[in-house]
Amino acid sequence: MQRPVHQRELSLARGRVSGARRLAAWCLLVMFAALLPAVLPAGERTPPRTFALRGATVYTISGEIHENSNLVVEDGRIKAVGKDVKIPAGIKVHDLHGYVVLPGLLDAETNLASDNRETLGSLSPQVQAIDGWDFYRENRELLKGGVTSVYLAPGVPVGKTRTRLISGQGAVVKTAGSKANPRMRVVAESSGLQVTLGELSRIQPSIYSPPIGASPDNPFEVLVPPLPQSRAGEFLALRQVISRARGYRDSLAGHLRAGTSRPAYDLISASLYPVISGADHLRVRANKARDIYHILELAREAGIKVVIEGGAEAEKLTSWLARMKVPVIFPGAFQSGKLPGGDLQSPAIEGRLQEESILRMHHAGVPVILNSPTDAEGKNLLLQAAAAVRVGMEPREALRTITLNPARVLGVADRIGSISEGKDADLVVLGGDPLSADNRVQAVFINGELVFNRAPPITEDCTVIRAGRLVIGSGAEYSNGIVIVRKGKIEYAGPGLLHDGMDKAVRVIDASSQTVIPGLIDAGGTAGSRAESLVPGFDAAPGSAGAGKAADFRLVDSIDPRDPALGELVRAGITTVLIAPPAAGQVSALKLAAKDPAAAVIKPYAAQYFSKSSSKTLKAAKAYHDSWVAFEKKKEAAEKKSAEFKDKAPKLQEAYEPYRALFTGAVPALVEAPNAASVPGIVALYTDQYKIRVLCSGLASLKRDENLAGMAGLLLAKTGGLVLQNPLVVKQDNTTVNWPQRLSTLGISFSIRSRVADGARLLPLQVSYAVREGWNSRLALRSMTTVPAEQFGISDRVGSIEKGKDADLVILSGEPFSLTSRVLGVMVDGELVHGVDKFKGQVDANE
Amino acid sequence: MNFITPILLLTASLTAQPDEIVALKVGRAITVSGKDIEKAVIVMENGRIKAVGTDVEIPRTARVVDMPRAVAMPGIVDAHSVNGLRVSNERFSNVPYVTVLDGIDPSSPGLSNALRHGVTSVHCIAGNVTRFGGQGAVIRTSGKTVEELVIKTPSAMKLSLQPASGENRMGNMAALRKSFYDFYSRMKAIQAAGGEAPLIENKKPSLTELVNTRPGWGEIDWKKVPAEKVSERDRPMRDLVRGKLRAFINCPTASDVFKAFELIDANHLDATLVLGPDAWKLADILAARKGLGPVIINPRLEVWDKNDETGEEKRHITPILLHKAGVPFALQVLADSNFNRGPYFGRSGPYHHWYQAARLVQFGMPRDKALETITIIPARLIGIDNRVGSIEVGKDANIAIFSGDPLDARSWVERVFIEGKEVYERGKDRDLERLLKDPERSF
Repeated sequence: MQRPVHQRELSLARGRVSGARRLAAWCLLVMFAALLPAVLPAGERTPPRTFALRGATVYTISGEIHENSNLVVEDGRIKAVGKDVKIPAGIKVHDLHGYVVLPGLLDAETNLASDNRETLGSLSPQVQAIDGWDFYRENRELLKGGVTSVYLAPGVPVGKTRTRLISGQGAVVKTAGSKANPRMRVVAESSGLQVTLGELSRIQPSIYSPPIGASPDNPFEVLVPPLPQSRAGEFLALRQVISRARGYRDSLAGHLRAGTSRPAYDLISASLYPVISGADHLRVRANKARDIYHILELAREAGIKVVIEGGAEAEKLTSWLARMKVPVIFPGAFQSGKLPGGDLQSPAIEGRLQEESILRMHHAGVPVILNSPTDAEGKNLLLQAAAAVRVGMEPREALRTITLNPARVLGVADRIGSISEGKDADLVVLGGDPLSADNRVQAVFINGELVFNRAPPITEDCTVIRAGRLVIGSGAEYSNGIVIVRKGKIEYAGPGLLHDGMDKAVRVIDASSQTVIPGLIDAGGTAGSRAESLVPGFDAAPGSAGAGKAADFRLVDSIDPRDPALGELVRAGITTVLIAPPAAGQVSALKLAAKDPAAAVIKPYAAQYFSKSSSKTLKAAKAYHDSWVAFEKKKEAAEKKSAEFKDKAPKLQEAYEPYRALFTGAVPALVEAPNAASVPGIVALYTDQYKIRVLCSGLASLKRDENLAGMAGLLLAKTGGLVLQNPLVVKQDNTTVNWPQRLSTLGISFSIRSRVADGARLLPLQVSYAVREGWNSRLALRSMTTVPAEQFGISDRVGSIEKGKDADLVILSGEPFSLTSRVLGVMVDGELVHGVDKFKGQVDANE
Repeated sequence: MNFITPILLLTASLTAQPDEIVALKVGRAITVSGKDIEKAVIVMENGRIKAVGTDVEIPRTARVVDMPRAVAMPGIVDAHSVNGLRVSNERFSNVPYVTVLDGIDPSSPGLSNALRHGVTSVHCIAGNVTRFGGQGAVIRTSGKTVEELVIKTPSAMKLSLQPASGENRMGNMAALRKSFYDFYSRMKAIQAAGGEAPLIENKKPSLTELVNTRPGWGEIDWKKVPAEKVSERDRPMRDLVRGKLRAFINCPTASDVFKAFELIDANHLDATLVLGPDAWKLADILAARKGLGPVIINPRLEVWDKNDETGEEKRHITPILLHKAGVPFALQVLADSNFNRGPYFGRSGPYHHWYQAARLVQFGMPRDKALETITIIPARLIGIDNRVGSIEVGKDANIAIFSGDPLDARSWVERVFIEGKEVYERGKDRDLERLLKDPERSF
């Protein structure tokens, strides 16, 4: 495809168009690239933009999906792809087992080069969109969506319709890469001649400036030629300009052949030459069926190639479009937060064709291209393909509509659009199926350069965990995620590629075929056989006489962090236990297997425990608290007035002092509730009377015929939540009751406690059993991670795999709470404290 | 017979009194061309510097100006300014034949303010939103008539990649290219009318090649298109494409530089780039470009670039990045759109050359290099470096005398000499007296 106008003598290098010119450009590029290694430090032997991807699932688009294949990139271009491709020795290799690789996506229509001012003239084919493009534009949003190339429309968008009949030549550019010379990002300096039909192109332009006097340089011509004011006028103008271009071509041909005089240079005709010679296409924005009809007629008559853009009523002309193989560029269906309204009778909603119509046209053989409906939506191009799949398009075909199809139509398929030998290495890496919701773009290569990676760069003091499945606990899940840990804290968790700085990381834990979840929390246990034996009556019924009745009793003080029972729990994946006293006292949050036993207690006073609600104690404690509040208030008032203050402070009462935290709201009360009937009483006393945040715990003798809905309402509205005690699945009246499932259905979220010492290691198995009996594994995970962390105010440290939290992770062989999932490794505070199989060797020596 | 050739108005006689010999004794002289001279004596005669040094014999007839604590530096040169013009842009954007001479106002307060801050030569050129903005002129900052002011005209032509209001970037560039094609077409017509066949093509082109051949530089044999056959309006263009008239190309954004390169290469221009605030992105590109002379950088020397995602801000200091990349540059100052007040007037900082140069030193540039950006480099850009820009024997006696170090904010300009004539003395600056009483309008 060659374009007559503005063949530029490029100063540094150039990106385009075909044949000799591009060859020259590539030669330049290769020469430039060849010079680079010379200036690289001696340690870096691998040539730039040369690497291999190993073990990835490669969607080539032009051909097969290669599973578990290798892809070799040499000097920014694809060298080879396939299962049997050998990776040359000595080049950098990214291990992408389990990842999916797509060719970079191409958005077939954007207005990113327009600056919202008009181009003079309604017939300005010489205008080039590339001149409006900012080569230094940051396109991070587009890269996030895997969009590596975009078409730039010439002229001015109004909505998405340009306001000139012929607004100029489009262009195709890459969205990143070539930092040293962004001019090299150009794929096609000129692609398609933009024509706009319809009402908007007939609007009178707002600017009309007659030249200063008549001068040879600024001739007195109408700068803005009279615009066609009707459809007939539009087509007359198009026909005229085409026949003028043909006349110009013919007289030049005559000059060549017969030596007739050479006609004066005609910029407009020269700009139209590629279209009339069939080297380029007319890209026509048309929505109305009659406009499309007339342009097809014109195309057939003049023997020119056309591409339709918009196409709201294109379906009416399906058979003709299919027969003439005229591609149609449709705006995609998805627009974030927008639900198009409109008429159900009409196939077009808001100037956009319904997805079903697009599918029917696709099946009829019309080459279909999907673009983003607005520039802001560019990052969601994959969703446009997904929307097409929802109505029945084959996923493979849907992906073509945003890659190879637009590349072909825009005349750049020799460089981009699919993964095949010799094409540019524009690659998008995802964690799995590109059209599924939980696989976001993880990394993007353009010309073999890593231009986007969700994961931040790694420094030398990092540990990296590759997770085949990463369940971060707070909702999101990723296939092939990574977790970066630094100094015991999580630095990053999410999708991403192993960074170039990977070799720098102290340690890589490869769990790429495993699942990584947050460390589990037992919402109430004793965690330590010694403690259990030390506390007489611990295993006695709650509320019975025994030790530890004092309000400031903390069982955690009796626990030896080196107790072997703790190791049992860690091996089961439990990394934090809320240590609750047997009768009364304070609940503490204890981290198991913490590196520094002195720092093992995350929160010494996480809740005040009441084995039965005691209105007497509360009344006395409240009175004591109020006396202090009154005293402080008086004192403050006096200080404000600088008056002398002589009042005596209330007498300090050790017994009631700890309860003050309840009244100030610093800690919740954890109150034992044996059944549903006991809940209203607790709520009345703690919540209504004393305004204390209360957590109900136990429900050990809950009956299936109780008023569960009423209890659920109370728990949701007036308490801080529920701590459910094992057994979870019970048999009552010959019926199996799956309490977690029942309570979840009622909308309650709860944590789960073992209330035993080393037996707690089987708690995850009990939960798994509830899952097998019909509960939901994601809710199960939350009940052992985020829910207890929130209830006891320790969510700033534990409960999910998120930035800034403690690096407490569990590596599972399979899905969380699947019966057979095995704990293969446990990390606490960034140190692997337990490991089997391949993780064994990585366990820290200090264990 | 080429009467468009730049006219050098050697008008020393107009401004300097030929008989007066002045001997300046200053605490220090910053020569720019060489080392600073302590306790320097500068002898000026016939508008030129006759001698400079420590032990220079002072002629008996000389008027001695003894300022033992003052610092003398070459008069500051501004390579790109709309100072002295009443309106900076033409209403119409394609006016290569217009000259700023017709727009210069010798009584412009901008000029007296320039003098007050030590500026002695200004390159006056049309503003930044004209495609072909017409021809500029290099002027002195002191004189009563335009004739007295002008040193060199035409000095350069302004081309701008900034679209005028109501136009967009792609339309502007298309129009720029078209203007060149149209110009070459007219030149070809003149060439053909003279019976001269166009340059012979060695090989017979294909039709596509022929269509793609635009009227271009290579098709014209300029000897066959003599100036007298070219219309007066096209003559400046003829000088421009033959490299006889320098192009000042305004590139307000970094990407525009690529378009400037395209224009330079296609039309064989001798060009100077006037860069925008985001030129920090271009250091490597400019360094790699062959034959690119010094550039003119935006008055905004440092730019904060915000990462929308992280909210992180990064500072880019254009002059330092260019300096490190080895790209020479001249500074310019902010123009004040309020011409009544004058661009060099009031406000602070970036309106003054000494301030801008001081900031370069603050950013870590060597002091001598910083001083060059307001003296010899701009002089070279406008082709008067043989006359001004440094204190050297034989050069014009353009000297600014500061009360202390010129890059010190506490120093002020005591006296200014242009071509040996004292044109400014702070003690006699009536306006300053008035302005200092009115702090709102003052520094």
